[in-house]
Amino acid sequence: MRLLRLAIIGVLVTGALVLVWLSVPSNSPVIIPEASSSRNPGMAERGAYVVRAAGCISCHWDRKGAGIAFAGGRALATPFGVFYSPNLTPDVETGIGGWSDEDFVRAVTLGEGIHGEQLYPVFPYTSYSAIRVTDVLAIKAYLFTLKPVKAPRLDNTISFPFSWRALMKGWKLLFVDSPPTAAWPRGEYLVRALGHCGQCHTPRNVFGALDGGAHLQGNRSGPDGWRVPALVGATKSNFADWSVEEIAEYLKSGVKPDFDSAQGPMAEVIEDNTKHLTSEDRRAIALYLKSLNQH
Amino acid sequence: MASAALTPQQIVDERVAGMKALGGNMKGARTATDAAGAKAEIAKAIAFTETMQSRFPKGTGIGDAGVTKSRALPDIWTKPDQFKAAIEALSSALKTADAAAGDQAKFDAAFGALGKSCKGCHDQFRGPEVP
Repeated sequence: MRLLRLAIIGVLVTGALVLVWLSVPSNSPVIIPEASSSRNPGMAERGAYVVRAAGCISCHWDRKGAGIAFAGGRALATPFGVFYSPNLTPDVETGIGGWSDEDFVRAVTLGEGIHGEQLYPVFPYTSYSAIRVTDVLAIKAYLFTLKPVKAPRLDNTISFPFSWRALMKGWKLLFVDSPPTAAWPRGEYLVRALGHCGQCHTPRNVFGALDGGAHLQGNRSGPDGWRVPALVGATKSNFADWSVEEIAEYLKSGVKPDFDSAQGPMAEVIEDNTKHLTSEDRRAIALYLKSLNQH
Repeated sequence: MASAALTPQQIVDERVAGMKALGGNMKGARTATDAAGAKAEIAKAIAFTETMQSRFPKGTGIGDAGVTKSRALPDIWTKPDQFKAAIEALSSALKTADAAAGDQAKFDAAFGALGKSCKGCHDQFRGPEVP
């Protein structure tokens, strides 16, 4: 009896401690080198390009609802519920106008909101954690050149227990690896960090975490219910047979080697993002993807 | 093509196989080593395109009776003028490519336009992939 009582007390105390830990807002320290400040000259111009490579606009634009680019409001249906993207324009009240460089880096690379709240990983900070600080702040510099739009955040409709934001702190502890420090080649950096290709092309576990062992191996339940094809070890599609030139061409025009065309979210990715990249960057992406299929 | 002997799904399947072959012809033309080879492939593509309209009889789209798997959107039949224009755009892009065979710069440009014509039609008249 005594032992049982001790055990129950132990469980309750541990549970309480976990709850307290989860509810404490996050405010991780971030270090921003002088050279990376968003106020430096040329950062906004650099950001105008990086923002394409990072694909921000595809989610932060309610295109179907005739919304304004970067003002958010786009619904993204996932197995956990519907998320609405927030406003990235520099409106002080409803956008990011009041954010410091530190706030922005914390949000993008660590998934910590302006009030220390946990951001949902539908915002791909699990990939963005590998973006270089200078690139992150170039994006911010570019966003701050946009016209501020008043667009309040729409409420997500997420099922319990995921509706409890603080839970994401535990999720991060379980599923987020420390940012890789290795110097990735350009193509890998574009695919894994900026382009966050794996967010759609890599399968997820029941907790919505990317299956690191199946990088880019396709996802049967992608965004808005799309089946996302495998880029590595493809069985049904013949992506592995595409040449470097064919992959690069697809990222530019949306036309596949068999003259079929991109559709759904990938058509948006090409239209909004990859077609605006330099041909060198498209080729770097293609070379990296090709390298994954050569064993 | 809409032979009475074929079920709606068979018409769809035949159409899909034809489209795949069309893609194959395009790729064949694109990668041909000489103008004659390219022209031969384009001729096959043109011949198929001439049968395109007839491969889309009413009742062979998504949700039609007897169709279990198709990506053909209702716009094909509710906006027939636009569909016809899309086919004509493909036909004319193919003829431009045929005329350009042998002149690499022109041929590349023609294929850019050809790709756009494939995509334009798919974007408007083709639905998502069916599992």
